[in-house]
Amino acid sequence: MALSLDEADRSQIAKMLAEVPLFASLDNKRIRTIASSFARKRYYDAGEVIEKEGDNPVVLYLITDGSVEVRRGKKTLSKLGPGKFFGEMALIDKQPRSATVVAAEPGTKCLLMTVWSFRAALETDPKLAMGVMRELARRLRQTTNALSE
Amino acid sequence: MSKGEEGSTLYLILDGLVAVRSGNRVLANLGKGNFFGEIALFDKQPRSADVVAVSHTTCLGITAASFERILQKEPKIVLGINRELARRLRNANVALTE
Repeated sequence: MALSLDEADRSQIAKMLAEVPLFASLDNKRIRTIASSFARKRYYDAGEVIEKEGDNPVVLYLITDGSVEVRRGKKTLSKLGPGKFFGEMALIDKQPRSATVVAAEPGTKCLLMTVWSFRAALETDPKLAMGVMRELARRLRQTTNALSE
Repeated sequence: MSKGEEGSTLYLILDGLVAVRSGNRVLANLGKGNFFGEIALFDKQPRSADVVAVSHTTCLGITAASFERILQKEPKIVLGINRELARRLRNANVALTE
């Protein structure tokens, strides 16, 4: 079940966002605005499926506690921990989810931003859009390397 | 463009077709209106793949400095680039798990 955020969550988000490379180039005011766009939080048990490949995308996730595994079939594509986000690809290209994401630890906690807030933030904030561009390019280099191995 | 080379030029394909390769593997075929070379431009590391012309091809080379200026003037083009990068990443993830 998705829960509303409290004050502790809000200050944790702002602090975390300032350290995430994607958001680090933004000023404090923008970071607070983006922090306020995360509307819900959810807790997951180890092994619980957070997103399933092929589903329609609704939200972007920021991990605040625990960790997740990104999988396709039986293969694990990556492991992500606190401060990392996921779910952005399907929000950007408007296609179904490209992979399944599973909580890897008990008490894994994610903050959720709706697709509408995320798209609005990208359109109004060129620096954020450029941060996403750099992150996508970084991941593309990683997958290109993995493909050549 | 060769894998491992230094270089920060972004290429826009005006006409023709190119193949993006790593070893014997074709990672993508890109045609008119598409771009390549963006990875090394963003992370300033050596080229991540080879790019070979498949047919007679004309490309426009854009330097890193020009690209920065274009982005400052027209920030919305980043949204289009992001969609294309997400598409490529999705294809690469599929190829990785096949």
